[in-house]
Amino acid sequence: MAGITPIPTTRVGDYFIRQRLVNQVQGDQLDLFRLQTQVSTGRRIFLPSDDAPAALRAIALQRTIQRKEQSERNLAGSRSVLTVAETALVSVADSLRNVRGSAVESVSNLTSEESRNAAIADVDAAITALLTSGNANYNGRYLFAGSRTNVLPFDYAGEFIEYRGNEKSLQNYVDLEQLFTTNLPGTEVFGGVSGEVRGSTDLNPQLTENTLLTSINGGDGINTNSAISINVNDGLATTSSIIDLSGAVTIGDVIRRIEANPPAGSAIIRVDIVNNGLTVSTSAGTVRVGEVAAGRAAKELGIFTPTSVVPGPAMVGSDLDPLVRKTTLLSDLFGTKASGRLATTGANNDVVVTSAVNGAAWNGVSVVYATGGVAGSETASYNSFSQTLTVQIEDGQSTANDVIAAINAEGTFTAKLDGRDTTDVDLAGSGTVDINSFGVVTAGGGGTALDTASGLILTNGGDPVVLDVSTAETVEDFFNLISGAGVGLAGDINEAGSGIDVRSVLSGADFSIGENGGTTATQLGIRTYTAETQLADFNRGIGVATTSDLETLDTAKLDSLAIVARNGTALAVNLVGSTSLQDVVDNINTAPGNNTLGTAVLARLSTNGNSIELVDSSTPTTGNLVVQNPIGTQAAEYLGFVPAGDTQTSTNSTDVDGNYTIGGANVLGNDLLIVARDGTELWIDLAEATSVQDVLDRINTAAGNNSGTTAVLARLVGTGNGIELVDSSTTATPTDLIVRTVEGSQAAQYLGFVPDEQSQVSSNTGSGGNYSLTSEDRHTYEVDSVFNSLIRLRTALQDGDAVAIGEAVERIDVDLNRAVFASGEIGSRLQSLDAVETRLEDENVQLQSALSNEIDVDLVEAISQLTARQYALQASLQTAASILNMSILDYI
Amino acid sequence: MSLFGSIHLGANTLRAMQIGLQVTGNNIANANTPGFVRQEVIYSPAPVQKIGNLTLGLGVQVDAIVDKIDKFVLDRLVGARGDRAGAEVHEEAYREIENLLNGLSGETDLSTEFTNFINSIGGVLDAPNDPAARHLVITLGDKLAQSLNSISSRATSIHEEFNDRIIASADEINVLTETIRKLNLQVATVEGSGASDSDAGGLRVERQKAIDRLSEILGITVNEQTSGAVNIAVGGEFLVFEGQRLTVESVLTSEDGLSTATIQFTSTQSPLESRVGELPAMYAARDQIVGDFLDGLDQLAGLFAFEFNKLHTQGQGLVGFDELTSVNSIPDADAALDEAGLAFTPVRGKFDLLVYNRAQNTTKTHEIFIQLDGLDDDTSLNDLTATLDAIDGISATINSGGKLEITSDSNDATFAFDDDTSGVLAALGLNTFFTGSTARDIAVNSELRGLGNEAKFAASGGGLGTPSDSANALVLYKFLDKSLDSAGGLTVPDVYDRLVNTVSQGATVAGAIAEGFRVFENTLDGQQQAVAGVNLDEEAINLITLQRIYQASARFIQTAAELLDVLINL
Repeated sequence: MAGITPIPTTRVGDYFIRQRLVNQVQGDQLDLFRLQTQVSTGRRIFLPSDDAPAALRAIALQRTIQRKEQSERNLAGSRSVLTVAETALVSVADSLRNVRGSAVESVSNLTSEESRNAAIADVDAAITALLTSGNANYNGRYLFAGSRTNVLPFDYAGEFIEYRGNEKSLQNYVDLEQLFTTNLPGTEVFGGVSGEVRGSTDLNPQLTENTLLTSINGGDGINTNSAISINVNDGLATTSSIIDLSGAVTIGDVIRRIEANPPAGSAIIRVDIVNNGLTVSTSAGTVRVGEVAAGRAAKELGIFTPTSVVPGPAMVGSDLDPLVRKTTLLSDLFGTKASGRLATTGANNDVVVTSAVNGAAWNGVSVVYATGGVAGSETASYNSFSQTLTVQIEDGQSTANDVIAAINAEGTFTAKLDGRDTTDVDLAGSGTVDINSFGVVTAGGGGTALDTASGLILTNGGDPVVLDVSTAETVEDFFNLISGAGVGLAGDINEAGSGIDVRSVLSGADFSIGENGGTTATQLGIRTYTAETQLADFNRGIGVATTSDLETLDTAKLDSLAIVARNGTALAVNLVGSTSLQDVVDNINTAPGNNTLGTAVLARLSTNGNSIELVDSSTPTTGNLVVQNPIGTQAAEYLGFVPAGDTQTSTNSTDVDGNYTIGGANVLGNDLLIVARDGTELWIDLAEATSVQDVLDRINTAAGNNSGTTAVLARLVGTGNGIELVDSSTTATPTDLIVRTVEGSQAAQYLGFVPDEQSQVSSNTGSGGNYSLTSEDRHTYEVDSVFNSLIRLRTALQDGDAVAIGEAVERIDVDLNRAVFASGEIGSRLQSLDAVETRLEDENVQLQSALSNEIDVDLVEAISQLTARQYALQASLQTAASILNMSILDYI
Repeated sequence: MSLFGSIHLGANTLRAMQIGLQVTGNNIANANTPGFVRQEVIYSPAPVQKIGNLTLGLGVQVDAIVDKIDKFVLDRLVGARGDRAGAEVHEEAYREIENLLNGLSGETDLSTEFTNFINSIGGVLDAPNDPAARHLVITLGDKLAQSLNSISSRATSIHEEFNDRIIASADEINVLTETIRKLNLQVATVEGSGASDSDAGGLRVERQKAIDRLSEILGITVNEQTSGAVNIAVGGEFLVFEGQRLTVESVLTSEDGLSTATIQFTSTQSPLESRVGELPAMYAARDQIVGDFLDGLDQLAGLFAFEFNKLHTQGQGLVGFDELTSVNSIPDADAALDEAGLAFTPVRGKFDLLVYNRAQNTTKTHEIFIQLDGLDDDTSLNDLTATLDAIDGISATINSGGKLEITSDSNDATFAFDDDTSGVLAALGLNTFFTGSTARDIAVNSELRGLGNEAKFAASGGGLGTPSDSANALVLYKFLDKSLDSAGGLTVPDVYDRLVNTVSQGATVAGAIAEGFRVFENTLDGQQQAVAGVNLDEEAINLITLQRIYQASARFIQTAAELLDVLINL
């Protein structure tokens, strides 16, 4: 509505009246038109300025509505994907139950090839059906390929099935802040990726100038925009400076910033990387590193000096524990390099010297300049005996750059310029060095270097592949080599960022990682067969079965027994307190009366060490050798001298020497027998052995081993995986080195020494004049997937191996659970989508109504205003007409 | 006193009444003439005659014909016109910008374009390999960029329009001052330098019209001289002084591709400065309203482009680059990157260059550190180029245009970028989605245009080779919600809202102010017209009165004549 202008108080002119009337009529018509437009468009405001606050709210509401509408579209997309996935999974559980049924059935009728073939056909059909389900596709996107939606997730790779997707999921925003996982990766439905060979060692990467601050402290990093204070006391006063670390990215940034901002008037502040931490030192006085305000940066950098600590000339920081990253150099793993600074008076001529490899061996090396060089062709030489790196220079002529070139050419150490000494970028390294500059002694080296020369042996189903890793510089290069080996293995940094994991994607295949004569795999912690490997994990989880009884001595039954020698001497043997058969033997041999006068009853361990033999050579022979079972005692019966229920055993049978003998029964069991090439039998009992180390120990400490001419060494094989027996026994007439199954124990087979169905294995070859025998690698990893189970089941059915079929059926149960769980998961996600959709719809109604409140017209109000204005206009027109009509001229 | 004297007296009266009738007639004739000032005849008794002891009146005489005008109100009107005209210019400028933004349409406004663009990324989230979804992102990005271009160019043309109007104002001022100068001379001549009491009537009306118009354009001070001429001054400088005037001219200067016109005195070349009126309002509308809007729009576009690019450069496309040339160039390749004149300034940080070998399906990550802490050896374009060039499988050079060119050395190798904390990629324009830094020049990077190039939309966060995930698209999708440090913690919609709010609040305020000035001017105009306006009824009454006096005077003459007849017939 037009503004209301006051009416002049004195007189009024005709022109003015007409002008006013026209204005008023126009104002009314404008209002009418506005109201009409409001009614016809339904909008209350047409431009933001019509009602600025409401318009602004409306713009925000419109935006929210548009965003929510996209959420609804996203939601619809997610729903389609999940619905198709749900459909694809319907048949999975049925297929698996079918296979399970026919497999179980075939076990009862294993001899019938027909029945087995039928079951195999079922397995094949199931594999095909599951492949179809696993490769389900919607709109050109594979549903079970993780986030690699354009890659066929499950496919044959030879006789195995490879999972080519990944374990990630695609996500979408189904509401402004609600991130929704749209698909299940194939691994969660069917399985497809093996458990990782967990890096068992902390690779302990070195702290370097390029170490990112975000990667220190195990990935916790330091707070951004922080600061620390450096306080130097020169004995008279303390001066401080605040080091602003905001924007610092690397450890090098921290070092540079501290060194560039020493407290005013204080001595030079140096920061060195020592033992994976920072050391802040001052050239005079003492230094204390503090926090600024309530900051934590100094603590996070490990260089905070607590008030309880008396400051010294150097603040030695703690290990900053940087993460392993893809770009971490392999040469930076497992330790630190020794380094030192070679300072010369003057600028642009200081040099930092760092050992080429890790290790404490390079600590304490003196680096000295010596005359004898010619500027431009300086030479460096390293004397490992005196631990001196000598650089021959032309005094006053050779520059720091020349020295660096010479040291780098020598190779034991690497050299670079010390940036702190640089006054101008263009002059860096151009300063001359001086013969009198002396004496850096390197420090800070430690740990070891990774053996990259040897490489690895990778096996995944097929033939072993020897992987040369000597070309790898970084951790990522190493992963690339593993995945590039073409055996379906992939490496990655573990979750903690401290080591590496290797995993397989090949279902149905056994995979392992072994050494290729070196220590690469072991150092990286990815060897699948180590001393710590648990026997229970051998043979795909079956373990290494040992003889089931007679494993331990029941010492409660070792009470006492009575022996009557053939000369009639009665020996009472007290066995209480005996904890081993050897104790029993000793107790018998030292029993009162034994080995005195003519009495000589010798107790000895049988060759297998599991029973006791009594040899009676007493004189004169007046009766039998008798072992009695005194009433209330159990020992004679337990040790097998007296049959159960009898009171004594009596014998006069003689051995070749004419002695009477009684043999006890086995009270302990053995699992395998090693016959050294000198013929010595080493009986190995693996009872309660849990790890490979236990097996090695049992063999290496077996009775009879390493005594006399016998020397059989058990160790992890240097190439590949397995236990290697190295027989260096000395004898003129060597027999084969033999490993034999004994006493019904299959341990030799389970350990991989003796092939299935055979009872022994022998060797008469080896290196270095020794005989050696190596066990097969029975500790392999495999992919946990439905395809793995089915392929294993198929093999088991072909072999007619009931145990393996049972094993596979158990695995199928697990797979079934997984598939059912995945189906349920998809169902519940669909349900939650429904909930979100309902909420979105409700919100949309509310938002639209709020928007409508802001910008839509209230029709009732608009129309009543329209009517009111209409009347006003009419009245205005009428009165105008009558005013304009009136004139005095009409009356004169 | 004779009868002849009486007849003469009557004749005088008749003449006086005729003059009165003519003035009334003129008033009636101009009853509808805008700006007309009614005139009034000032009658006074004629000088008296002394006859003996008697003093006889000699009838009436016309002293003057004067303009009925309130000079005080007129002076105030001069100021009010300037205020109103200025406020209307502001109002108009805001209104035009508001129309440009079309903020409430919900379909075609900029806010919707922003939202639609970001919404389109939603389509890529669970279909990262779908070319159609990717293509939509690029199309809508293009549409958004074009909307920004178009708004910027339309705002620029408003800017130009104000320039044109300012230039036209100079001519108008010259014409008006010339008119006033000429009329000054005529008025002075007609009014006889104060010798007559009468006003120059129509000449004054004409001059007043020119003054009125001039007062709309400029805040002027009007001083009427005794001669009847007016002197007109602006900010202490006389535009018109009696019969002389100063001419003004417009001059154009150019800045940031925008030309700016100002008006100055031709003789002294000092600027014509005024605080009220259309001219200063046009300056303000052009420089503050349109200019600030353009700045705000550029800031919005620049913020959006750079921050979106910063996120985009963190990701990888479905395919890597075989070759890539930076969008932005650096004239001095030795300058530290934060001092090299880039539109966006990189900071200390690092980025990863991923070199992907297609044949081996392996990726090698190279960390590239950008040293920009001002302590020593800050990274220059030359340093960066050398570092990149040293990478196995990649060559980097600076081309003749000062742009960084990265190429892969073999068919097997492609490259991509990751994890840029320095912003250097976005600043140089490597793997960016948008190019440009203002609303005028923002555009979708040509790398992304063309068939198959939608694959380069960096939706993935998982590197190259392994087919794309949509990790980076998830981040981009949330871009509108991202609080930006470079915008003081605001989000892009916040900045947009602030821009719209500035315009709509400005428009509201300018509208209210203009309305206020209009009412005030109308009030003064009412007051002025109350004095100067013609009222026909009043004039009719005057007419009758004059007529009656005329008739009476005629009768008086007749009576005198009859008396003479009596005398003659004696």
